[in-house]
Amino acid sequence: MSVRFRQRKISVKQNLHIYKQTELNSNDLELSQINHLDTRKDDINSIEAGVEGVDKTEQDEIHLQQVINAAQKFLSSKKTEAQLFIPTPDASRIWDDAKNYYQQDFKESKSYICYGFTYESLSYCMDEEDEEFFKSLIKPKKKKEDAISELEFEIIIEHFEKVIETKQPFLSMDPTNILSYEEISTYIIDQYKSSVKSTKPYIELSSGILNYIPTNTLKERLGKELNFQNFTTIFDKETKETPRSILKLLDLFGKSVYEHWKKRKIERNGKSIQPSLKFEDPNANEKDNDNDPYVCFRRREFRQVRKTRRADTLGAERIRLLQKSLQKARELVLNVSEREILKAKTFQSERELFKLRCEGKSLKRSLNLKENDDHLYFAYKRRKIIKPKEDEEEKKVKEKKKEERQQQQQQPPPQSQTEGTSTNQPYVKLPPSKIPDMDLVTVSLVLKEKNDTIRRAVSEKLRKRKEQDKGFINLTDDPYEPIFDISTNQHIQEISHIPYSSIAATNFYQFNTSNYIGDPLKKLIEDDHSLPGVKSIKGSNGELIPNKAFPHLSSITENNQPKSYIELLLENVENNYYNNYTSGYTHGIKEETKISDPIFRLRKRQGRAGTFIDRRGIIKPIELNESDDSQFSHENKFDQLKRLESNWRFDDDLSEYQKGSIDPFSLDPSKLNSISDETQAIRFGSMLLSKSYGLLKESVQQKQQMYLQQARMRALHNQQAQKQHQQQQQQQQQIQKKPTPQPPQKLQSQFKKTSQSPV
Amino acid sequence: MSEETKVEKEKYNELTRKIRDQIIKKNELIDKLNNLEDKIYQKENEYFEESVIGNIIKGFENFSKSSGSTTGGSIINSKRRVTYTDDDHIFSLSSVKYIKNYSRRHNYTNGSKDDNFENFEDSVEPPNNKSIDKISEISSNSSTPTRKRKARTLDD
Repeated sequence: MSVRFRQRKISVKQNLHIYKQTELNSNDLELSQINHLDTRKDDINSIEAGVEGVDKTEQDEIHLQQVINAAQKFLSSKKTEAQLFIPTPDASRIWDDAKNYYQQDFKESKSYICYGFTYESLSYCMDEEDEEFFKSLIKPKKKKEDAISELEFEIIIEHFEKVIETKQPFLSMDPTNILSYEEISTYIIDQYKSSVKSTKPYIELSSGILNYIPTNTLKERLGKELNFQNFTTIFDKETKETPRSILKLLDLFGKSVYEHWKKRKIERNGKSIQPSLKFEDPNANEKDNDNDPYVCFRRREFRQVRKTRRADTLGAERIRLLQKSLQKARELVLNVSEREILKAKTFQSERELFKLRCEGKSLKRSLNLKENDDHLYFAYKRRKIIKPKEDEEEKKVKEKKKEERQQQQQQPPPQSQTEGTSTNQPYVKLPPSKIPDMDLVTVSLVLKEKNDTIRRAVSEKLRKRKEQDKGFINLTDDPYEPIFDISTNQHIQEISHIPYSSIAATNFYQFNTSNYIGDPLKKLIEDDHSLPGVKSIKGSNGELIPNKAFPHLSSITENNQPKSYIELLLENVENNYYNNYTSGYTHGIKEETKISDPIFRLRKRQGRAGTFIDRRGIIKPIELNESDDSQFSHENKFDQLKRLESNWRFDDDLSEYQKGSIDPFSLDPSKLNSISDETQAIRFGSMLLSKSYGLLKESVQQKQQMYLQQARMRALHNQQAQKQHQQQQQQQQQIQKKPTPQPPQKLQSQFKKTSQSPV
Repeated sequence: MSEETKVEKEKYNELTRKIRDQIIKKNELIDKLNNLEDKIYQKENEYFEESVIGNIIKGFENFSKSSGSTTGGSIINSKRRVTYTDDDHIFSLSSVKYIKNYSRRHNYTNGSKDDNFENFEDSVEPPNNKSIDKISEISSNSSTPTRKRKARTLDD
């Protein structure tokens, strides 16, 4: 159990065991933990435990050890020793000389971030030697123009330094070989001019090192780029004098400063005048570098991250992108500043214009000139620049888009409609037990409705037509109803096909005549007689010719003619007479058809060798007259005979199915669709089966539930019984424990009762 | 005509010529300015669209983010569509003049009558339409609308 808990960050992923105090053996604990929990009298052996939480190098620190030992001793023996502590630096006393070094008045700066553009821009700072020279440089010249500022002085020196850095990097080898002023100044001027052209913020030196341009020259360049003088940024310190351009400075002070600078340069053995930081010399020995105390910013050893080439190129690409983006931004900023300059110019020009106008106006008034040049003095309404083309095009495009959108919106609905219609009446195979409860519509009802609507429509049309034709009689034709002499077709072969065969149905009726002008009418016209039902006047004397009834028309009005099919149909429907539908059209025909009594009859008989035909002659039926009734005592004998006689009509060799197909409008539902008996049987059987299965399932479920309930009841019952049993047992036990006192009481009571009763 | 007036007249002619020149110069400048402003707006939009790795307005947050683990292609894929509002157009819309143009173009009219001045221009040639609207007239006319406007604002 020596696993000591090392203090680490508690991570979410790691399980932490939670100990209760009782589970802990104090040996396993660290000193601090024991102090926390409760100091028990257990021995503590682990000294190392006390040093936990301290850096390994500091574990041996003497004060720390002392304290730890003391604490352990205290824990083990409970003896107090002299108080030990780890000494801390004493900060209690006041240092008397502090006033000399620290000023009391503290001024809070306006912001915590300081910009140091002006300081950074110059890499050269004047020192004491320079100051002396600088004073001497100012003294002789009293003109303001010729005075040189410190900043300008620094700029000159810096330029010199830069030139040496690039031109003579190894000047220290032979300082006397320094460039002459002419060389330096021409170089500087050249550089200045060339640097203006490039937009790069650095100068590429011959050695390949990039040198950044100092901010001042950069500003100059930007100013040149914008064609704007006195380029300043808001980061610039507000200085009354901005340094003049290097060209001018060189012109003014170049030579004298050069002399001073050259002197110092040679003094410094060609190295930079300005003290610079010492860095590690890459060429020197590593140990030398290490031992040199003046080297600053030493390199830290760190493991180089291995990079794939892809990552390298990725980084480069990114940097390139960044550069591009920044360049664009720079362009934008430049454009903005250009814009501002332009704005300033427009305002200036506006002001000038205003001034000129003022002058012009006053002059015009004083001279009392009446020249038509008013337009020069006022601004006029802008002539409308017509550019509706674009707008129109845009509009058109918009409209098109709108239309497209609308179309898009419109298109989907039809689809949904079609979908809807398709979903409205889906063909669903329903199991027989799931056919929904709904009122069945009988065929007759549907037909009636249909006929009603037809009749309504037809009668409506007729009525309208009649209204239109009021006062006219059409002689050529009956305009309202074509008159056809229709009769049922005698020769029709397949009456049974009517319900499903259109050919058979059309053949059911035959048109005997389709009369336009009947024969009697023809004759009348040919003989030049007056037409019946029409007022006609004799040409010779103008007398009215008496009307004759027009037989054809009168027949229509009197309805003497056999009714047409539709008329019949309508009538039937009106009278709710559907026999034709229910019992079939064959019925009526059969009645009409004349069937003779069978001439010769054969009988099919079932014998031992199967069916055979009984060829025995048929006994001629007894001729019976109703008048002969009296001969027979039983009246019904006549009926019997009649029945016997007509027996053949109902004695049928056809199966039910065959009959059904013959008699399609049978009332028997099984025959309605001419379903064969076999299928009918199967259907019925399957229906029964599914029904019975459903019933069975229900009953089984019921039984199960019943059984469960019973079981539950039984369990309850048992529990109760057990309880009762237990109670009984307890009671028994109680009774057993004190069995004696009860009986006597009872006896006594009984005795009392008995004793009391006689009284 | 005396010589004095002649000199004066010459002076006046000189002045009108100057005015003419000044007007032309001014119009040129304004044209230039308008063009530049349009150009800036265009360039700015371009800049926004092209800035995959970020820009100086929204920052270069994504620049170093996905550089380590993800592949190069994903920089472009992973860019979320940054939406730019009018506030982001710090270059183009930092010009008051352009804001006016811009808002007119986008139909954000404030209903103010100040726009009237935008409809006037100085020109060397006399205007074509004979109903000459002078700025002075407009300014006198516009006095009533401004009053009306004030009333409206009070109502609000």
